[in-house]
Amino acid sequence: MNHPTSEQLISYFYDEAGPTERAELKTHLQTCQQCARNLNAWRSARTDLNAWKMMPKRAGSAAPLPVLRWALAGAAMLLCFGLGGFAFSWNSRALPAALQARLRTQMRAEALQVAQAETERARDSMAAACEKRTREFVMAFAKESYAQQRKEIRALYAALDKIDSQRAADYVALKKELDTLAVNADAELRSAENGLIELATFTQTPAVSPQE
Amino acid sequence: MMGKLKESLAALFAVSDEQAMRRVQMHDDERAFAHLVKKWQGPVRRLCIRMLGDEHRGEDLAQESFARVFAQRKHYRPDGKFGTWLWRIALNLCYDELRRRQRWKQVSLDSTDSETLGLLESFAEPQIAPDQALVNQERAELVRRALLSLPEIYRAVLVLRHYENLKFREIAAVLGLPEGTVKSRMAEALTQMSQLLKPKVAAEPPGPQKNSNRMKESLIV
Ligand SMILES: [Zn+2]
Repeated sequence: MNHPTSEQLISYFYDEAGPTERAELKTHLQTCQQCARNLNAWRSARTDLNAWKMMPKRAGSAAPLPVLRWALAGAAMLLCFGLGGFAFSWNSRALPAALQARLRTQMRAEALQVAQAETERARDSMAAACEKRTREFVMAFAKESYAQQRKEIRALYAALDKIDSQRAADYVALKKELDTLAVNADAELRSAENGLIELATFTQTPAVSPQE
Repeated sequence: MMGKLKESLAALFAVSDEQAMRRVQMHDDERAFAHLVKKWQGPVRRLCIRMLGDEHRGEDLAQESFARVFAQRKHYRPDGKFGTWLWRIALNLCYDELRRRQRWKQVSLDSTDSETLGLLESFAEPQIAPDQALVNQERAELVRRALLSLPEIYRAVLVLRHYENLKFREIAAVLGLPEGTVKSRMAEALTQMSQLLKPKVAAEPPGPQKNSNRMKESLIV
């Protein structure tokens, strides 16, 4: 007798076999004890597996779903031309402390990485294009972006000033980060400008790809 | 600013996981990320706990998975399903953890430490009689141990197919394997499970695990 492969049998077992295959396997199982026995073993294993139920959450951490929230991130996460830093603030009550800390650290590290990677990428594409007009455009774009960034920071400060004094404490940390961001933005712009000026004399296409 | 947030919140009710992830990728959209976490944290938590056989560490890894999703958001490819990508990230973290454990020889099927006890507590269902609860706990513990003694490549397929109800085709996408391979692994996993769990009927402990044939694989995220 030609037994079906275990792949065919498992498809049948999980109801993923096509109608024709299904009918054939059904017929086979009615006459083949060996395959029927295999299937029965699987069936009992499958039933046993259900004994390990999973509670939604262990006792003591049955808090509502920790909905992540980047407080004010929409405005504060001022990514401009990839060169800007992130001001990143979490709603501390809504987020598990461990994840919050992790992501915070991560964002800081990322801000630096992004700045560097984007500068490199810009240099790569610039070198590829190697055209004066493009360089001028990118330079202007970088300047414009930083101007925009500063404007948004000022707007955010204005918004923060309007928040009730009782909630002001919550935003002290964010404000501090924004101060740092503003300072960093200046430094990064200068460094970006230097990088772009370097490009003016750059003729060779670097082989390094920042992707993956 | 607020209007924009409300707008994106409203739109979230209609977006797919892929669209949400795209927004996280393009705009660091916090609402979209929260939406994904809320929807997927249960399944990811279950996967990690079952892969590790350890509730506390499983929960840690589930959180870590989302941290990693965010960290790697720029690498997400919008042509793939978000779920596939997320399962893969979580599974890779589990594999790393299991490898670390084996390196330190920390894995012990006989562990009766607080982690195992904590796990057992979670099986207790408050509504049922104590003796029945105990029986359920013991059965669950048997399954946990049997699963843990399964080579992890079989365990991954079994957890995704049986507990999370993914189709073989979807598992193949997660693991980057041909569908046929996934199917034969599932068949083998079930066969091994039936053998491992058979002794429980005869009230014997599960057979010794074979570490030597424990296969490893790594997934590329
Ligand atoms: Zn047969």
